[in-house]
Amino acid sequence: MRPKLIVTFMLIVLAPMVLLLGFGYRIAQNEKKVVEQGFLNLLNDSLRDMDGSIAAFVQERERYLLEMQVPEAPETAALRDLVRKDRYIRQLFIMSPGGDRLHPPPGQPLSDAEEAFLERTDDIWTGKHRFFTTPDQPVPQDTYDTTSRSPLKRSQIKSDTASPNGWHIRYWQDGINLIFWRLEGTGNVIGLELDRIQFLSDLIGKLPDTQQLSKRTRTLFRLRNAAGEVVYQWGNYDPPDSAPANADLLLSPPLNAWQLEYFVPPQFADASQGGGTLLIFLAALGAVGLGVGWLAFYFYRESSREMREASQRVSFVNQVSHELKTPLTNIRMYAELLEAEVEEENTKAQHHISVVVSESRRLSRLIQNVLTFARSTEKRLTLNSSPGVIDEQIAEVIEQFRPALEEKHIEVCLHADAPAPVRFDRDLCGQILGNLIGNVEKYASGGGRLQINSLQKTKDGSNTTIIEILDRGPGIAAEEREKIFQPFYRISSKLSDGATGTGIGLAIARDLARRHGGDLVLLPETDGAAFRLTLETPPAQGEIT
Amino acid sequence: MNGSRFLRRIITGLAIAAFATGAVAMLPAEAMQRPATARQIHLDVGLANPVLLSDGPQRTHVKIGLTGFVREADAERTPVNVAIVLDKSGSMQGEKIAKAREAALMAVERLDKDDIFSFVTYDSRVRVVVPATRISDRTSIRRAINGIRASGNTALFAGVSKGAQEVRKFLDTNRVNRVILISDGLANVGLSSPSDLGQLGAALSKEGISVTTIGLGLDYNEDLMVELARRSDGNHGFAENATDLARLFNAEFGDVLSVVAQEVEIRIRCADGIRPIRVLGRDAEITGQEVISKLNQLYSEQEKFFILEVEVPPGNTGVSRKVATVDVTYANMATKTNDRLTGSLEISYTDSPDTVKDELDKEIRADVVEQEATEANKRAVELRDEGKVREAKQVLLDNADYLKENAQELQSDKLDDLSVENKEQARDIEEKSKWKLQRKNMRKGQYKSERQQSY
Repeated sequence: MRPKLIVTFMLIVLAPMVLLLGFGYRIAQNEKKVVEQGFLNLLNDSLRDMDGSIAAFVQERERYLLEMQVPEAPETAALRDLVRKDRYIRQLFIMSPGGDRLHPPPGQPLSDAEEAFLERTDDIWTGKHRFFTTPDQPVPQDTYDTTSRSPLKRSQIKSDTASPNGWHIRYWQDGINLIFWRLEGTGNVIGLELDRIQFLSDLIGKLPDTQQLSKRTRTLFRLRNAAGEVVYQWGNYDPPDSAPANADLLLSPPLNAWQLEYFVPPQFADASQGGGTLLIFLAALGAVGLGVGWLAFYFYRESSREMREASQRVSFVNQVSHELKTPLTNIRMYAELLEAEVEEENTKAQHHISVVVSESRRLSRLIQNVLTFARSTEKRLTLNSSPGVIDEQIAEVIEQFRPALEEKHIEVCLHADAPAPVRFDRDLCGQILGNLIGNVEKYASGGGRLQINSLQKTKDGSNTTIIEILDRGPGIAAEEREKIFQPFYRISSKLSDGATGTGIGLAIARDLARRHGGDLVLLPETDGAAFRLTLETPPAQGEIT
Repeated sequence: MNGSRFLRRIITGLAIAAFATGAVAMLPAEAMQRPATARQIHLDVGLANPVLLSDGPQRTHVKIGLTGFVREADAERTPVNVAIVLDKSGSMQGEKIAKAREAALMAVERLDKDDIFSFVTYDSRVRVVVPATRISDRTSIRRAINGIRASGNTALFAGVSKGAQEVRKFLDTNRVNRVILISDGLANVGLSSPSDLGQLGAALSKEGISVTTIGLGLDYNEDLMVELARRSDGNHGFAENATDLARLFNAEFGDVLSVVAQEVEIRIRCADGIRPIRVLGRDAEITGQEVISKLNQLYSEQEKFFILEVEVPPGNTGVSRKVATVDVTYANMATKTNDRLTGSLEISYTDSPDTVKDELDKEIRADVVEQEATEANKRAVELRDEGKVREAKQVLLDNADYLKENAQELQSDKLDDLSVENKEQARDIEEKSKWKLQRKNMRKGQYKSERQQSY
């Protein structure tokens, strides 16, 4: 029983822990995702803030370009002066409503810088690209409305946009080329080419430097251009070369080919994954494990205490029975002596003595049953075979019961057909028969009849003795046919009032029968009960004792 | 006795006056100049060949020279607004960063309470160590400078941008606005090509900010550094060893503290028939007949000049022809006014080659030769970069000869020295191990010639 108990114990403790572990893991995973997402949101917010600053810078530049006073078209000298002096623009052009170039002036010698500019803006002059000039013209692809930051739509143009303007973005060899165009009242379009390098240098000038950030803030912002090259970076953290950004964001138009990246040291990212939860979780697991373990241990102790108590009771009973046996044997012996001594003529005394003998035999049987039962649980029972005749044994037992049977007016019919000398355990056999016949006397006395048949068979070299005991009592109901063989089971019978019993008789009888190589079964009978006892009885060689 | 001494003094004084008048009278007739007054810059225009052969067309050179005036002894110098941008990348470790710190501290000592100072360091990131501030608390500035340690890569473009941003905080036309960049390495974070850095220089120059670049050691990119200085009209220095830094810094501050004019704009309008071809050694915008250029500043008692190559059409002997008018405007730092100077040039024709030769302006011609030799010197570097060592050497040798010829003809010591220099360079150019050093020296020399740098 022990290993089974240990296994059960462990199962009780481990099963809930495993379940808890499973659920806990799922929860931790989910929480990790939530925290990660929260962390990412934080990073993205920082990026969006920075993008906002950069966008503000761009808007400031746009406002400047929009409000800039530009001389009218044929004032070439003034226009050139403007280009020379204004630090934000590199070159400028003026286009007539018909798409003709007004500045740099056609048909006049141009400086090298102006020639290069025309080359850069080649797509505009060869008619492959048109700026918006009239409401019914199709809107060019890469034009942005600076107010709404979305590509211009025809409907917007027709509306109250006082001076349409936008960005014309081109990718030249050295990078992004930004031309801010605006439509003048005259219908001319002015295009102001932003000095890209100056723009970048100014932007860097406006963005934070690393000194002004607290040394404890270990993060890094990195700005990349369209080609993916790092243009500027700031922050107190130095990520390893190949590390990917923890979060990134494309800037708002017109710089939407540029990208802002955000780096944080790994321990920040990991900390976001709720190490704390794991600790709490393990603690909970431990607590539950301890709790369940203690509970299981408690129950185990309780049950083993009960078992100990039970076994104490049993051994007490056995002890008592054993103690009773000796004085009882004396009583029986002297009673039987007395029975022999009393004169036959003294029928009253004879009768009294026979009752004493019979009752003391009954008591003896009872004690014997208890002791057998105890010995059987402790596996101390062994066969003690000796040569003898079954029929003789049967006769003996019947004789023992005679007074009781006569008292209850039970007629005995014996068909004895087991005369062969065989080896068998007399005490054992006697006990079985005693239990069976005792049952008839106790429960089936109303039927008034006890039938005993015996026979012997030889089959395949084995000898079997079969004894049948039948009565005409109330019989045994179908649902109780197996139960009656269980220890301590008694059919609650109103019919046999006053009958006593321990409920172990049939259990013992069957057990002993099986030890003797046989069995005890209840035969199907409609009239009363019929038991068949089989015993293995090897033939005895020679003498009868 | 007193009487005779007094008399002697009078006679001496008169003699000097006479001499001065004569000297003035002997000046070439075709050049009209504003006499050099105490607080105005001096404009000097001239032709290499004032007289040309009548059958042309012929080419000659116009020189426009500008000299900063002498400051009066008690005059206050122009206050300074300077940002020092220091490369503190890993390669600067050790002596370099120590000497750089020293040089920066020395600069702080030379400035006074009216000056604005800022200090920016960069490796792969930029730190504004001392934001633009008046020099009131030298101790904290010193502490900040002393706390710099070297490590990391180099974000040169960002460093200069931040330095410029600091200067911008106190940008003033009445100040000398300057960024001084000290770098020992390549730029490897952000923009790093010479043309990009040059464009940055040009943009800053428009604001009136010049960038002086000082290269330290043998590993910096000299093309990048020179281009940045060139386009912003700053100086360029090469400190081979960290110990040279102090000397260069001193020289640079010598210039910075002696600025007398800023926003100098030069317009040359060529007369009809005269064709402007190119400007030597400087950047200029040539549009039709007009040549426009500018200088960010002029230093006291230093001459900076332009050489414009022009093509003159044929003419009639004895006839004069107008070549060009020169118009110079600038902001006078002493008088705090915007001043204007004008000049004009004429040429006359002759049949006699001897006359042409006799009338040759030797000084101007020497300046022209120096510029042409500098161009040849640059070509030699290009060839050597392409691996054509022997061709490079030959160019230098030819250059040395050309210079020597002209040195003798024009009696110019300057050309003689240059000839010797080119010869030495020709000798060394074949040695691979020396090329790194030599290239930096050559670039420095070329820039110095082109811009008439004082150090």
